[in-house]
Amino acid sequence: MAYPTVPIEILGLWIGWLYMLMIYSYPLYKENPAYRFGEHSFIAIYLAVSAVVNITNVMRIAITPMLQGQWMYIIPIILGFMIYTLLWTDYRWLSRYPIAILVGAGFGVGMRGTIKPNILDAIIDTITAPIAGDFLPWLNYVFIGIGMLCSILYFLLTYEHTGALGAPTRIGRLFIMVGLGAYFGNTVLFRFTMLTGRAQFFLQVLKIIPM
Amino acid sequence: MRNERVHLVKAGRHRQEGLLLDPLRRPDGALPQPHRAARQDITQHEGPVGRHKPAHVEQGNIAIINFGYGVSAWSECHPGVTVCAKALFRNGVKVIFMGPHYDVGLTMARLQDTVSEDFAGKEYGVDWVYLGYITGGETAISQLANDMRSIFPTDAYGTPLDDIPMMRDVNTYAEIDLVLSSDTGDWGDYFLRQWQSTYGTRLAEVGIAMLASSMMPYYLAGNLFGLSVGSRGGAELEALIGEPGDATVSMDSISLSHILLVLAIVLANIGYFATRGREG
Repeated sequence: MAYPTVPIEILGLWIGWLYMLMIYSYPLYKENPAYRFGEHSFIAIYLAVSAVVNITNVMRIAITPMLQGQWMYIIPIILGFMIYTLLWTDYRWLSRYPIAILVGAGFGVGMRGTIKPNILDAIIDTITAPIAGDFLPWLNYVFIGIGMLCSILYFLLTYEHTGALGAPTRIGRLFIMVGLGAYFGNTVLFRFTMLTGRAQFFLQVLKIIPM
Repeated sequence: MRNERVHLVKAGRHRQEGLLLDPLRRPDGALPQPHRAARQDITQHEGPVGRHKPAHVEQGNIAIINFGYGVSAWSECHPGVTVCAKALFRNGVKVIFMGPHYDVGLTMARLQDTVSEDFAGKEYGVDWVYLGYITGGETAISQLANDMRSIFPTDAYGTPLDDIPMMRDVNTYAEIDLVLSSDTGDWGDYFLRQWQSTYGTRLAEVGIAMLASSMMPYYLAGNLFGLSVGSRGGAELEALIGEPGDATVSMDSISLSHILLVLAIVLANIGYFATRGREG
């Protein structure tokens, strides 16, 4: 991607750069009018874009086919409009039907594909011993096995975690903490990458590094 | 050896000058780079465990690339997707692009820019097609597997799918050879549950770093034939095809920021353990 040469594109680039500074002025300094302007502009533009994209999409998926003779599309369109009855107290009950259909369909469709990858394949992968006789795969296998059993025992709330259950549940808690720590670490990694991306953009606009 | 030392001395000097910004200005790879690997053909990847379906692709195969990320996550997801798009195009695979974010058009334009040389040799409607914005979550992905035309009657430019040569015989999961989903959220899970788990479609994930913990079990169990995590994954893929790009450039800066973070954690822990006894 090269540095733009068309004036309107250069202007767009600099507006983006200024907006970025406005938003960063909040964590770097404190809440200020420039930040609020940037924040409000972002929300307004985001809402405008989402409205255009969604209306265009409804036109493309439902209204156009309906007008071309596929009259069954009138049903989802009516159901969609029924959600807006939330705005009128007397007719609010009507909105429950489309929401019930959405939630029901979501659960049903979701459950269909959940059991194999999340339960069956996960169990098979955990209990299948390594094919090779190397030390590391076996260490990993035993480590994961112990971690899984101890973590499950930690959630065994029917019995007090004392006696025979004391040590395994304590180990289980450690495994859960390590897991959550790794998750948090990856979250930090993601945020740093985003920050790096913005730093790259900052330097690119100033032509310090190539775009 | 001497060159290496000079390299490190130079790197050390400019670390002091600009700290996190300077590695972006002069990425020299002086910091440890675990992402470096020998150049390989990533489309011939066998996977680490026998349970994986091979990622082999053949000329004429059809792939879906789902942009499950917006502009804000370009630095994290886009390098990986760029490499995958290059690899697919160079192996003669036809690609369908789509995405669930409002700014999917910008991401598509960005890809056309970052993969411009490969797009130049390809014809729209014959080698690739851009379907545009998809909404409806998991139910839409489920429906996409059974009747694409009910989700996308036209492509993003308003052309009916029947008028697009590449899409004439494509309407269900059966005609799709693999799916590559790049996500900041749940769309990879939707493809996993509704395509991979239900129909056995080959699926790969190019996710943000946060998805590493949740997606790794699927990769190890063979549900995913490939997994690239964050900008580091992007840098690894760039190394594999021998074409350093945005992710490689940002790796020095990210590595340095992580060293600072690790130091902060170590110092905080020392402080905690040093003062714990006194407070108790």
